[in-house]
Amino acid sequence: MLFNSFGFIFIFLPATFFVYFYLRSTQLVNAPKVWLISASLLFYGWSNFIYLPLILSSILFNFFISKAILKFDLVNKQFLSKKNLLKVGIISNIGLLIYFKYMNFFITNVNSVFSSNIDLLNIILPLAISFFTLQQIIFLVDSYEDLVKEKSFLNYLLFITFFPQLILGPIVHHHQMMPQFEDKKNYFINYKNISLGIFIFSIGLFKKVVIADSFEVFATQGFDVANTLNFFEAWVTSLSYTFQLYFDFSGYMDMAVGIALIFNIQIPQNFNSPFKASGIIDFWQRWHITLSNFITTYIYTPIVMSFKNLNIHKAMLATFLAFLIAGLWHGASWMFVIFGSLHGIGLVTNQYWNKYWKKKFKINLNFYLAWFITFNYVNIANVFFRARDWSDASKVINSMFSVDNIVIPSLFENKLIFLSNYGMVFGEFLNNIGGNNRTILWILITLIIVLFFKNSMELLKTFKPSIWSALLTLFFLIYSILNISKNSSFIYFNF
Amino acid sequence: MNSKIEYQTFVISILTFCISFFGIILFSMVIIDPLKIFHKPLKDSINFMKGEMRYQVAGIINNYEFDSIILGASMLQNTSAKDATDILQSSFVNLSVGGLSMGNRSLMIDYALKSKKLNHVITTLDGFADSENKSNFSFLYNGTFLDDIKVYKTRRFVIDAVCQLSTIYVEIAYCKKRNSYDTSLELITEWYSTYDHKERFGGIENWLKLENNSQIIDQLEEIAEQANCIKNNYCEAIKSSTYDNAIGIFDKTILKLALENSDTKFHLIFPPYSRLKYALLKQSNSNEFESYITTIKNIVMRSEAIENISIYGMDHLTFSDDISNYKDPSHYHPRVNQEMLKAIKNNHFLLTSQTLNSYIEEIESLAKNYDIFLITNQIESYLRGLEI
Repeated sequence: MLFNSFGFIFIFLPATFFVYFYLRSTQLVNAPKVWLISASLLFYGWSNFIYLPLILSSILFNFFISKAILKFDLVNKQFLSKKNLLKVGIISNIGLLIYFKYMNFFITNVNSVFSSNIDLLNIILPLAISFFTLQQIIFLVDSYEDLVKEKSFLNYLLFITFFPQLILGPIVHHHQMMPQFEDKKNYFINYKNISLGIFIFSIGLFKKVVIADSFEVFATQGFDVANTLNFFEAWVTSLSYTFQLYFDFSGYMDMAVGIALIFNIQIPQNFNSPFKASGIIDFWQRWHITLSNFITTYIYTPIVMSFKNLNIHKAMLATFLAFLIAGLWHGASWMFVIFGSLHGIGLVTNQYWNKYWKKKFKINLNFYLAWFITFNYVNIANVFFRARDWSDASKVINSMFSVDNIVIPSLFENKLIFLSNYGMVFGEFLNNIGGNNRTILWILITLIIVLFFKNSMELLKTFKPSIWSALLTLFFLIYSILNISKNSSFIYFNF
Repeated sequence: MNSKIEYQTFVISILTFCISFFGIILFSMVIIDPLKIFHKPLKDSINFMKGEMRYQVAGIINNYEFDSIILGASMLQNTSAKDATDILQSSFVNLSVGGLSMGNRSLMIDYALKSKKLNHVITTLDGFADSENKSNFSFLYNGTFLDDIKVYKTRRFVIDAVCQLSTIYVEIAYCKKRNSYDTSLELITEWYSTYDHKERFGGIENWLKLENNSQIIDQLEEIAEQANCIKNNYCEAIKSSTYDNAIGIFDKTILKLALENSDTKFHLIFPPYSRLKYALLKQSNSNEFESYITTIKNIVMRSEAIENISIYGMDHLTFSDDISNYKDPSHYHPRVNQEMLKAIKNNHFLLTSQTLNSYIEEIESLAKNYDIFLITNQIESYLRGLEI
């Protein structure tokens, strides 16, 4: 089920809310949790119930592994030690992910390298597998490190399936979520939380339905439909996708935060104005924050720990490898490997710059130049994130850096006619992607919004109920709902 | 002015406003009901939305009286329901939709059969390339009221509703332009009277003298290319055909419906495209012509034992030779539609196991011997003119 659907907004969410708080008021301990779990499983299985057994089996398996880890707490030297159980758990989770997400990619590459003809497996990627797998790995590690001692299967089921964060995260720790469900203050309807929730939900819905879905048109035309792109079309295509990706994902996160708040649950922030970043390190501290934390704690740190005689160069190698893996986590394609590598290289360069080159060359990079480099680097890396294959990516990248195919808006023909002597053409400059002069205006406005306005989490912190905030919320809600006219899925659903 | 309010007031005002706003819209949409899905119009002069036929057909089936339907694609859009009613002595309505695939046609016919007792169903045997997306409108044909309401979440219908409501008082130019209040039930499907279509009949010169869009130019280029390959005897075999899956689709759609509704007479017509079209296919050794012949044979043989199916073939008639009866290689003049009704009335041009072989021999021979170059030379010369 999609947050941006009529069924969710008008039926699922109100019904889940009212029944949940009714059950809370009856003093029944488990009934509200059972209700929320049932609603979450319905939410997950709405479009296809076929993967419900898979997620439930995965949850059951991880719960028993965590119970076993707690039980074998003191038996360190036997075969079934805590550490071995943790290894079994982690390997099983990664194995599940590899089977469903990477087997066909692996077979395709084997066929390509060895000219073999192994049949592809008939696998459909289960929704949210990348997220619930990571969250369960974190839970096992937390159990191993005695940070969590969850004995109730019902609680664990709720922790994994709680519908606002089940599909796309944020990736949360048990201790961030479950104490809130047990806190008696949260058993009652809280108008402050509902106000904040509705406010942030309306912003998220607007981001998704109005902004992301509008940019999606140009990105799809540029990447999937147009055979050739001119210079401006290529830049508009890549920028459209960069904005689509940000507003799509951060819109989802805003809606998730808002819905969770309505149930008196606070989930962590996942975006913090990433396009204001002035370096790649800064960018990853602002973009998909819970994934960045996971990469640092559970991929980068173990790689670093495995090195003997650690030095800065080895740490940089670990950074690069961690982001290579993170790139591949997004999807089974060489394009994601390139995306991960580019960000790995960016981070390594940024680290070396901060630690050595800045001092060595005595250059203090101007903030605006640093921002410009970062933004464009991210934008270029996103071309590989979006492209289905190398030809799609090279079509866009080549045109972004080719001055042979510049078409200038006919609006400027009178003033810039001399440019025609240099092979430049005047006319419909965004024709192949269905854009026009207004497209450029939208990109500029969007850039201004992401650079100079407070982000939704900052707005949430300063929110005060007033006539103006009510009008703004109503505008976002009504305008967005009136624009819901298709089943527009979220980009990260593919991962 | 102090604009601060309590959290509770904030929540209640937002929810009250949203529920009222969307409730009123939904209620108004059901009351105005521009597609007539739930009831007949509030005012008789409010007509049907020709541009939204995939949705509009559901409304007509739900709320109008008839006992026979004509439901095909563009080949049947010019068939007059009034003529059909007079000739076949049954109360007909024409619900044909341009470009409607066989799959979607059968969805609509099935819904009509479940909603009403039908005496006759007339359709053409075309639209087998079943690639048309139906997810946008199929929910209107499942008989579920709650699903029907979903049609009015589409913003353009909200605008149409406002337009239709306004016609009670005044006709707004914008609404007229967007066809919000379009046309009567008798004329809802026909396209012949449109200037751009009507003027193309009368000969190849009329195809070429009007303004041709890129789609028509592409079609003319394809004809020229086929003619050129025939002339130079180097035609490459084309493997894909619009009839590739025709038999399977026929079995799953019309044949199934006919078997389930033995009291309804199904009149199935192979639409008589121009001789030029078939001659180009035949003479260029395209497998499409062979597939067409195979399809005719299979459909006739499959339907032979089913009493409520009649199949008609008119490709052998002389009007197909005369390109002035066509506005393009496929679409014929409305008098052909009238001939179809007469054929049904008089049991003419029926394809049965007895008539099948002679019919196929005749149309193969006509296609093989037709002089395509009288027409294609003019097209080539026109295209050369465009290049200059």
